[in-house]
Amino acid sequence: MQNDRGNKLFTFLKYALVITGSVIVAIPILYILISGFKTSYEISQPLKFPASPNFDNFMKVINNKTVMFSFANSFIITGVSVFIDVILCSIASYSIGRSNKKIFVFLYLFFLSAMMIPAVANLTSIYSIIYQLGLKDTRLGLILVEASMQIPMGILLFTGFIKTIPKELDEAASLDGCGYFRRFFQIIFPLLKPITFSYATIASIQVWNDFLMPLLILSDNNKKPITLAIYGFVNEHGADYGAIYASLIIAMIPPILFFLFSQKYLYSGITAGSVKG
Amino acid sequence: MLKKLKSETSYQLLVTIPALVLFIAFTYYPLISTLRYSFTNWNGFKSTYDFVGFDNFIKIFKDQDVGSSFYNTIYFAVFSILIGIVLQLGLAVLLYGKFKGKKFFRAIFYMPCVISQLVASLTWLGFFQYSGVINETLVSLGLSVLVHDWIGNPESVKNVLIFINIWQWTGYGMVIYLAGLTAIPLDVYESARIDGANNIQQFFKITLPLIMQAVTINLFIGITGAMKIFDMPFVLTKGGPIGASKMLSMTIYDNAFLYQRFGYSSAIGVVFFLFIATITVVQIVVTRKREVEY
Repeated sequence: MQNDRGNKLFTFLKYALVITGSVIVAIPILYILISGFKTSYEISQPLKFPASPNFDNFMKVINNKTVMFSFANSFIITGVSVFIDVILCSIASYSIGRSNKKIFVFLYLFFLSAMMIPAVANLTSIYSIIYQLGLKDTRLGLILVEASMQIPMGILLFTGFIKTIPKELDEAASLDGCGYFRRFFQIIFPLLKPITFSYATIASIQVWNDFLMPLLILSDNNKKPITLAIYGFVNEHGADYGAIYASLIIAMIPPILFFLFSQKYLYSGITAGSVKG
Repeated sequence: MLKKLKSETSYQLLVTIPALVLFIAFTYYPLISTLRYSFTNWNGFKSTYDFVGFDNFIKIFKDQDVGSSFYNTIYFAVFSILIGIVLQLGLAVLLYGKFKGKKFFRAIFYMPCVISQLVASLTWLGFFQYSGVINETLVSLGLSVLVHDWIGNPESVKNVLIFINIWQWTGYGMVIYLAGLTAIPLDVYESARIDGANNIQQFFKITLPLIMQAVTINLFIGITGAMKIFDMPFVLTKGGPIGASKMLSMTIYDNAFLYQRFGYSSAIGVVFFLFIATITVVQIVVTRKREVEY
């Protein structure tokens, strides 16, 4: 009987803590969501709701060419770099996951060891290699750097997954006279679908959200990705908090929508990486 | 048959080359060339430079800017990780098992991780600035004495950054711990209960040892993530006031692009990399030892 009461108290505490926590997590997002619709006068009263929704702030963001272009730029930069990574990492991992030769064990560790190299330690040399290759202020330069940075995670996830695919499949395909590339692209690659989605989801979010590498490589307003464009917008609108909040709301929409549709792959990707890591 | 095997291996090697080239060009080669620049006085723009031996490295240890930003970074990392790990694990334990709306809450806690650090930091600006939500709330509650310049004060600004960082990343660690908890077979708990172990004993004697793998990975992510923190202080405080929130990453950036000391900036980068590599290797060895198979 007493134990029962204890359990009820425990359950109550459990829900109370989780709900409180989630309110703290959600509140700043809800706050800017409301404040984005305030007039500049209402902004100075942070605790009050706007009298009626006001769209001026959003118009300022929409009329800002750099910010609007930046959606397309982010989309291209993220899409191309993640596409390159999926192909390169999956086919390289097929070798690493299948062969027991020492060279592949070495390659695996070589790729993974880079996970502790912080890009910020190499700012000078990443900048100068981009400059020497004539890729300064090009989207291609940023795409190559971002793609390179996401390779270790790709090797980790794909290799782990490929090891779970029975080798008999390869052998059967070889006996049927399938060449190496046909075997990979027609038999193996389709089986990698779950991990491909997981990896693509995580890598896309990381590339989309990166700020430091774009800051290093791009200065042309027409080429900037969303993070850099928002940074510029915020600096331009120093004390115009309404416009700043509106720009943050607009910047949040793509990742949150993406998250809602890809949750399953996101969670399974993170945990696949952590179990093998 | 042997010939066939050989060609299989050559194909296997061949297909790793594209990934390897891209990886070496923009990740490994920069590491090597940072090392080379670190022994020079290159300014980043001139085509010539001299090798200066260990001069840059000697300078690092006398540089007050490096010293204070190193301290700020360590302070930020230690508290972010310690508080973070308790909250991540705590939330995972609370949400584990039967919990109504589990998926909904997991999504709420995870959401800040998908927003860029830049946007996440600016989202909190409206709370922490002087005429922001926190101070206004304190005034309206009659607690004006507690009103504080959260970002403008060198002491509190550090804690504001830690708070925002924890706000953003707790959900990420929680998801990893939840997966670890879910993987523990239920019969382990059953036998412990039969042996008379209470909830607290069960947590420390069974749960914790069995999720050490998740602890290993979360600590790794936490350390590498916190040590390289850049976007948040860069956009929120510019390192101020009086350098109180300036991180090592910003010192590297400033030396390279503000003061045009590429050689010196590279040297700080090398020391920074060696430092992170050392602590992460030590961390992995230590926590790996505590991992238990089941």
